[in-house]
Amino acid sequence: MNTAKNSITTFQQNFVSLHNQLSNVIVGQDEVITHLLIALLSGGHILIDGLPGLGKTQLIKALAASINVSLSRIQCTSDLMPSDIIGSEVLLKTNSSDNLHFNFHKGPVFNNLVLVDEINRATPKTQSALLESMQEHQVTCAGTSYPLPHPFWVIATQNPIELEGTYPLPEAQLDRFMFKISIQYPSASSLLNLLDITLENKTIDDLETVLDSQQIIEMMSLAKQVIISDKVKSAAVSLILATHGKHQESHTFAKQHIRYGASPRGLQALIKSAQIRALTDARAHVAIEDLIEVSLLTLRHRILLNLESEISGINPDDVLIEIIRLWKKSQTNKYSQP
Amino acid sequence: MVKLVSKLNTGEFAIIFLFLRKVRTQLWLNIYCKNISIALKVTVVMLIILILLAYYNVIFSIRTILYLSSFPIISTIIYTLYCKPSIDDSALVADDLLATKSILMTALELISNQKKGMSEFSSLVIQHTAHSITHKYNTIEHLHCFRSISFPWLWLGITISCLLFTLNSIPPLTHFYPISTPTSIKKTLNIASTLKSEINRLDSPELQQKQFKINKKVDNHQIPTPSDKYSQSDQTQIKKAADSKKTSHNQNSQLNSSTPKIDNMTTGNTKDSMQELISKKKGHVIEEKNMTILLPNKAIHTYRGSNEKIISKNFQFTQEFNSSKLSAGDITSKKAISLTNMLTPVQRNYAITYLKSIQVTD
Repeated sequence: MNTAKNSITTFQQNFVSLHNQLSNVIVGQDEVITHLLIALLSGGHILIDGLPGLGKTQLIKALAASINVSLSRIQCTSDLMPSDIIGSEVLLKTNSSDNLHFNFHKGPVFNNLVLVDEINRATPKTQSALLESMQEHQVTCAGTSYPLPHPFWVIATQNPIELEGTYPLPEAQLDRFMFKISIQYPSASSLLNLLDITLENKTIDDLETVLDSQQIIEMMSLAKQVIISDKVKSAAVSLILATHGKHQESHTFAKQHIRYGASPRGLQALIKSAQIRALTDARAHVAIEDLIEVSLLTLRHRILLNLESEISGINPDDVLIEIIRLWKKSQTNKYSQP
Repeated sequence: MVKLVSKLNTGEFAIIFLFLRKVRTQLWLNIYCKNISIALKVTVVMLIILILLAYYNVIFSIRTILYLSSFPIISTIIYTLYCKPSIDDSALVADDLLATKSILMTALELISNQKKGMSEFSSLVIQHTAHSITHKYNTIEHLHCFRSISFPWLWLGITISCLLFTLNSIPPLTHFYPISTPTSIKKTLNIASTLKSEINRLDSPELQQKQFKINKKVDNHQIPTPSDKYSQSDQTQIKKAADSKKTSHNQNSQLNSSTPKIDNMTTGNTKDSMQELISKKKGHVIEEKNMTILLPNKAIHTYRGSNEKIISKNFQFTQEFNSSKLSAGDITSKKAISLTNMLTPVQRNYAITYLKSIQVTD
């Protein structure tokens, strides 16, 4: 029992130290950092959405430096090919003989942390090259599957403006991302802090490693032990079903706005991230509050609004916030005091 | 669960269960009070409706009113007895009270589910639960929603007041009287006036002298004959009355079949009032004299032994009655009417006022 308690305490300490390290680099984005770390420890991939110059790439580089894992960066353009990501078979001559044979040359995807910058600029063909690696943690080339290193994360960024010459990510691709994090513009005080850091001439290379990959794996395995009661599981299922416009139990509001709801993969993401959220709060069990905390992050890119809502300019976040509110209301205990 | 219990301190289990039971009891009481409050409100509304119905003579029996008004309360009590909140619901409420983020709910599930209880984190959750309860118990004790049981005293008071008002104002009518107000007034006055007229007649000095004579004869050990007891005129009167009893009974029953007989008035306060009046004249033989004094609109009536038909209007006294000595009696006495106790308060007041106005006019 003490071991479990110590494990949770250690987890919390590691989480806080990593968070503090990143907060020193990316100023005024504490919430984004928390969400990033939750997704990271859940073993999920992250899609970061934000305007240029908000520090998306910087954040990921700082993260890779802090946890001492291999990082590769893929800058997506319209002429990027799948082989540029996953690698390709090249003809090589061995030293022992003059025979030529094909040898698989690993692409940048064979790293612990893959930063796919401006993913929406790549063609759908290239985007699809990441599907297998993201879901199955392996790459298949010329009939041979190559496993990816563990842990493996894909962190993609995209720009919500300058959409000319971009290819919106297909639903299948979006569904593979555990979280979609939106970076907002920092406050004035945060910008002042940013100036101070800039004037100090500190670079990412100066960052110290806070955790190694082994510790990260331990933290990830600890999250699997977090207890989820049946009622919390039922609540998670009901939340996913609430996003389905065509479902019987869904609210009228969802029926009005949503064409397709969250997938079962979304449910898995919801529960896994809720486990990490519970551990960060030094709890060995998942609460309904954890589900609420991570629900917007896990579901915002998994719902598809209908045509009327899209034409009306309704944001999926607004629809989800209302659905979560209605769901929370339905989850309220019938005996609770008003 | 046995394995888990062996791992843990049993005191933690005891703390969790005792706390959950306390919460459940408190929750149950709160639900009880809430339901009772609703039931009392319903009862008050029902009582008001029933009182109104009783005023308009739709409902006669106080029992009916009591049964109907007590139904919501009794059914609520029984329903709430069977709807005791489960321990799971108590855990949810306890989580809300402690703000422990579903820990009690999870702990309860772990205790009841043996497989889940095996992991290392399970014991930690239970330990945390017990710890939270111990530390936050004092805080909970001071919470308003947990501490106070808001029994609906106000509504209980209103309900009791309504019940008392009902009991005081509405008599338990069990007679088969017609519903309409004028008929009831007529019958009541009929009974009262008949009794009074008899009393007046017995109080007359002539009859008292005759009775005195009879008593004197009895004292002298002489068997009195009917001719001795009464004068010739009295004998004729008695005979006439006896003969006309059957005929008048038939006539009355034809004219108004719902008119009750005095002999049949054996229930309720009416009987008491009659007995009271009769007991004042002990020793006298009361001769039944069925005589209608007050009649409703356009009611055709004949006196006993007379074939003359009289049409009366709006409860006016008949001419015969006005000319007779019976009218001299205090038939408009409030007591005489109120003792009959067969009218609703509205009817009673109406009758008294009406009769007083007649008396003043006369």
